[in-house]
Amino acid sequence: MVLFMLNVSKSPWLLHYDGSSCNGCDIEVLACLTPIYDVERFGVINTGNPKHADIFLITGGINKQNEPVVRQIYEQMPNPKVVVAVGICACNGGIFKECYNILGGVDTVLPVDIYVPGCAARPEAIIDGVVKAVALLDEKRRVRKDEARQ
Amino acid sequence: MWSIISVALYLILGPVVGGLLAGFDRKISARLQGRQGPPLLQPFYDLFKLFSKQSVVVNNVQDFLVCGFLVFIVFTGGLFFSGGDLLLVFFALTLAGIFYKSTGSFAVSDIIHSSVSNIAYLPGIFIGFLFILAIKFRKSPFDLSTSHHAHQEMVKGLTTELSGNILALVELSHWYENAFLLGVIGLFIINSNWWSFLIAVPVCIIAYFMEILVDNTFPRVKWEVMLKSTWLVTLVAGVINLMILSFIK
Repeated sequence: MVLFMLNVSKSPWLLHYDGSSCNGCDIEVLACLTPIYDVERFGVINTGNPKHADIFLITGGINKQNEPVVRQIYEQMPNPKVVVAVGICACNGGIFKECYNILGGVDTVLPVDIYVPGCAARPEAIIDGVVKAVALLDEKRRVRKDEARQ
Repeated sequence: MWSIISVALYLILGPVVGGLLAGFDRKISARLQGRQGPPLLQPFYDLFKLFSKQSVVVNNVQDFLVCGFLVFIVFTGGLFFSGGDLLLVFFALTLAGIFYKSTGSFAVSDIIHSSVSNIAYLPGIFIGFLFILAIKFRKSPFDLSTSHHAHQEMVKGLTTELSGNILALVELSHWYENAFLLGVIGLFIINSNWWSFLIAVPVCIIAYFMEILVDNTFPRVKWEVMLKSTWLVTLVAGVINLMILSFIK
């Protein structure tokens, strides 16, 4: 019972960051919190604070201005943590890929664990991505524990 | 002997009651908003998760202060449930706050053995206390961005810089504190009759439900409004109550 409760997956707190998104995906991310989708039923809390977050959810591609910001937020998050790229722009740059200021998808800066494509990504797809991220959190925690034991 | 049992029960059941209250709180809040809401045990999942996370310490002093907060909250509750001196209880609570308020006696054990419930003499003080509870439970309109609900907070009050097990200790302290505060509501009702306990429990539950209802009904206010309105309500209700009490007793 206690071991079951210790799973990080029972309480995924996420941090939502808008890279250079058109706000389409951001609206869908926030739609997940509304009564229709209600991600809080999985224990998800939208923290807005990297130090409390387990899941780093990024929408939109990475540009030269937000690159250090994304890096800093990632570094401030305590382990174990996962990165979820939401929307095609966050996955590989999308329609902004060829722009002079765009570096590309989130994986040009951070190790992305889960890709959620779509333009805009639907709330169902985002929740699916978060659930996959949550399973990965448990695995990362197990690895961390094994490393600590050695 | 009885006081040792009460303190032991508080130490063990305090976090359980506090955690379940938080669970009911989130569930009822979600239902008031037309959502399904998290499982009842969600606050426990959150706590265990925080204990298993890496703790990023900004300043070592914060660990000491948070541990001091937990120790003084538990000490406050322990004193209260052992039937100790109310003045000492609230002094200890104030001290905890630094680390991170008829019957002719200040002893809790004497107060609960009086023949008439204290609320008969102290309705104004009771109203003032309920008002302050919204602040202590961190609820709208006085949650000052420390709300426990799913909506995003830009800066989460004092705990912004805390993470991992230190954040978990703050959460645990709040559960102990909430269990103690419900005990204080009960103190207004409980008298020497055994059935007063049967009234005190529903009163505590109704008081907590009212706090949830207010939390979901009112928007957040700024701290200046909170300070002014709290002084106004507690001074008017409390002082009038004390003046009438000094005439009739």
